[in-house]
Amino acid sequence: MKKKFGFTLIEMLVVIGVVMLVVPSIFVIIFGIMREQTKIFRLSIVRREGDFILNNISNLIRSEAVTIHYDDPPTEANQVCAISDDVYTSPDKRLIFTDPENNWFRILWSSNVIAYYSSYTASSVNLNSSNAIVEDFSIGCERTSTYSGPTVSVSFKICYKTSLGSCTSTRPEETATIFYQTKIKLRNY
Amino acid sequence: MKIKLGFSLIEVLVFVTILSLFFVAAMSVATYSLKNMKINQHKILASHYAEEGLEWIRAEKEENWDQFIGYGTTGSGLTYCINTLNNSIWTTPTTCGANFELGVPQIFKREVNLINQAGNPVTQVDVTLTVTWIESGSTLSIPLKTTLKILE
Repeated sequence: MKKKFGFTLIEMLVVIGVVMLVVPSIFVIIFGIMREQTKIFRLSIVRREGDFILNNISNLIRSEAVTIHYDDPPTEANQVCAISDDVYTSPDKRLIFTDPENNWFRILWSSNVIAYYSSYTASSVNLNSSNAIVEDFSIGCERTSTYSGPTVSVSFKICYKTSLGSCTSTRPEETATIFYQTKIKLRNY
Repeated sequence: MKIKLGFSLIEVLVFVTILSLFFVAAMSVATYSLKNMKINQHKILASHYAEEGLEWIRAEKEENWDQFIGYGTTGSGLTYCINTLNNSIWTTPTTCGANFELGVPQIFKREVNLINQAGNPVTQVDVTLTVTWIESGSTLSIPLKTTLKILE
């Protein structure tokens, strides 16, 4: 009788068939996990940066701002929301505020970045990192009566900078965009 | 005596059982973590929507307190659907029902309950804001509670 070594054709076919069934499902799950991880990572960064910007702007304006101006340096002539029923939305995406120590600070959006400038330190600080892009920034103020403080409204969209250098990507898991909006009432007016 | 080559049936069965147990365990861990990640991703968004809504309610309160206390009642209060944040939602108190129309994709709904605390004039309003969404059959929600006072 002839001795057989190795596998028969049928055995090889069965093994290859099983491998072909199992490997794709494993890859699908692995890629699914990787996609979700990318999305969560980007979403949490965007969320952190957005919360940071919103908290900083709110706290600054609420506790420091006294008067609101549309240009710097602040003067009587460029003051806005000083009288009742005044509504102003900045076309230049910026507002300038004076503080109780007669210094002033400016919140300004330009080319994907929100910048905070203080006349006291004479330096500008970017509130978001280069990982994130801020779009559709809007800042304005309104005042309903002379007896209550003016309200500053801020809204913006923040997204993760994709490999294309913008908010969009061909792959949906690479995009992460969150919209923020708030209204802040001045305490010192 | 016959010389045995290869494995016996019992040996092969034992191997196959151990291997399949291992694979099933690994797969279930992988799918579970995938499901968990999806939930986490939606949780990040939901908590953002909840805070955004609360921030908006606070702004409404800052704008006009007398008007704001008119939106709630004492007792179990009134519930509004605030999927979109604009003043028109105050006209009729209504729950969102099955309108999950918030977010991208639209899977969330956001409701707010306002309870005026006893007193005349009302000086405190209890706010409960809930963001709800359905995740593979089960309903998840993030409730935020706060009390707004006439003087901050």
